[in-house]
Amino acid sequence: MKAIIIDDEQHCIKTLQWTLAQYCPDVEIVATAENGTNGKNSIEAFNPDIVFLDIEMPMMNGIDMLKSFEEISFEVIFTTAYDKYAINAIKLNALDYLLKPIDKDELIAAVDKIKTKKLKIDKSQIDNLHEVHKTKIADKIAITTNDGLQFITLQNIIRIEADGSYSIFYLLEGKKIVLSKKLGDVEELLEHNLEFFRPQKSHIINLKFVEKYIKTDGGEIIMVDNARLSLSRNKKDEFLEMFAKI
Amino acid sequence: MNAPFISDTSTPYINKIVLPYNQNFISFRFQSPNYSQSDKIVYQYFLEGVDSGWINNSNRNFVNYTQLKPGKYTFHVKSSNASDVWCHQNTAINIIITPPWWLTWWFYAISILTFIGIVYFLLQYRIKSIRKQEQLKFKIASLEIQSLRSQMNPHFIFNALNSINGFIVENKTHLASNYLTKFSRLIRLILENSKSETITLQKEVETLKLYLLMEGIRFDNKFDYEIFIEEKIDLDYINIAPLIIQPFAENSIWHGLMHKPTKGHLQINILQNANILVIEIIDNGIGRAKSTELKSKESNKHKSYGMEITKQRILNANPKNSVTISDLIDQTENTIGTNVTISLYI
Repeated sequence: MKAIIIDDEQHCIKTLQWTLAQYCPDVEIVATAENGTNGKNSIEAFNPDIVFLDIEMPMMNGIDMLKSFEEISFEVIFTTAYDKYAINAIKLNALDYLLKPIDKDELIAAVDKIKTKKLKIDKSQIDNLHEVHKTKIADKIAITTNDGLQFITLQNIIRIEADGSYSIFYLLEGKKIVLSKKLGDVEELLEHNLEFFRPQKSHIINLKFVEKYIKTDGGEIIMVDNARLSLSRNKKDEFLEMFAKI
Repeated sequence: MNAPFISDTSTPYINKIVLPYNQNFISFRFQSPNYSQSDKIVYQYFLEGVDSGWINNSNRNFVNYTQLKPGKYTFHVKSSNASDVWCHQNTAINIIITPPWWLTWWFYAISILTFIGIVYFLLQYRIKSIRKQEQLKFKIASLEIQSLRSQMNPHFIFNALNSINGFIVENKTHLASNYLTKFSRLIRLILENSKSETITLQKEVETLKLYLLMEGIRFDNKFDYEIFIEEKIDLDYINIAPLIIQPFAENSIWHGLMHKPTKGHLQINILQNANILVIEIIDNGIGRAKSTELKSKESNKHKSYGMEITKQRILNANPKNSVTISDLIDQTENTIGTNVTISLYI
């Protein structure tokens, strides 16, 4: 597989080159670039399979560079040292990233994932990533299912139910979408969106779609789709507090 | 009875006079319409509200009242002629002396309401300031806890940096790189976790695993370890205070297993008993007594305040929580390890 590394710090390029050579011998580095403009030129010249792309770069950052492509014909692995917002934005758009310094095991896993990946990156993922990264407000979440990529508007989610290592999204108008992610991971993804709340082990709800709260012994929440959910004892205070705010 | 005068002004005949509180010096002058033998006419008067009955005034045709208190009065007067015959009807006039504004009912009402209002606001203010103080205290307490959380980090950081330095000096590039990247992952987790009051058990176990992996590399696999988690436990949902297992594991490795001549074993069990999470940290190291003995021999004493702080944090989270440390003893009463049991109410 042909790869290009784009990073404004030369030592980061060197380290990743070294790690790839040690642990992923089937990845061949065809070019490296220290800024977005050169990176774009290299990508167009070499047509790589993978681009390791640093997010924070002067002049043109990694996300801006990607946005300038009409079509993404390569796989992207973002690399960043620490940028909570960027990481969350990347996760929300079902894209891949590695944290610097890059751990060999994580690198191997990321490269293996690309080898088995069927879906190409869709331009809409990049557009939305660009939007979320710029505005720091996420209103959509990208979900890859067997049928392909799908965007869910967060405001349309009534509730999310855990089903083993899957999460079932119940949307307005009775739609249902299954994501192969644990509910805990989904909860983490939505942690900046205050209208989402986990009242119990197997559910995340959108507080805006709570129809009724019944003060029985345990407490019961009825959603607009008539789902009746029990409220965990230890979540009761938090729920009432958040519910009052919405 | 003559037309009444109010402060020297004549008021047309009326049967009622209303006076303010400061015009309470009242003179009544009266005159019987019988003019024959007027010197023989006898008057009697009675001010209802002041006098207890009729008062004889002989033929004087006036009477003065001073300092009348605010209130309602009725002045009656009657006369008799020379043959001592009293007229059938007496003449009456109602006098109302209005109270000053500070003695009126509405003034009383307003005063009482204002007083109640002031008391209420003072109380509210006091409650608010007490609440504010409480909040401040709470803030300080949580800041303290946070600083306690981050106080544990230097242990990790310097030991790890020291090991990395060692690998570099020995030219062990792979080990150095591997160790450093694991270390950075661990630091990232600790930084993230130390911001939160509670984290998922999943994250705690991940941190612990990474820590043990690093210590394993560092001590060249002088010990092995196993983390057993009861299957029914939902790692993803149970929340606990961050970094409470690691300090005990660190203690086991540093003071129990490191001094052991043979390969040691660290066993960590996470069990759930109804709403109590039980975490056991069991090592087959040299035991606490021997460790203390060794420590006192060393000139450079390793301060292990990490465990004390962690224990405090565990108890702070819920006073019902507990940490017990006991020695493991074989049949011949030899110490064969240490057992730390942490019970957390979840």
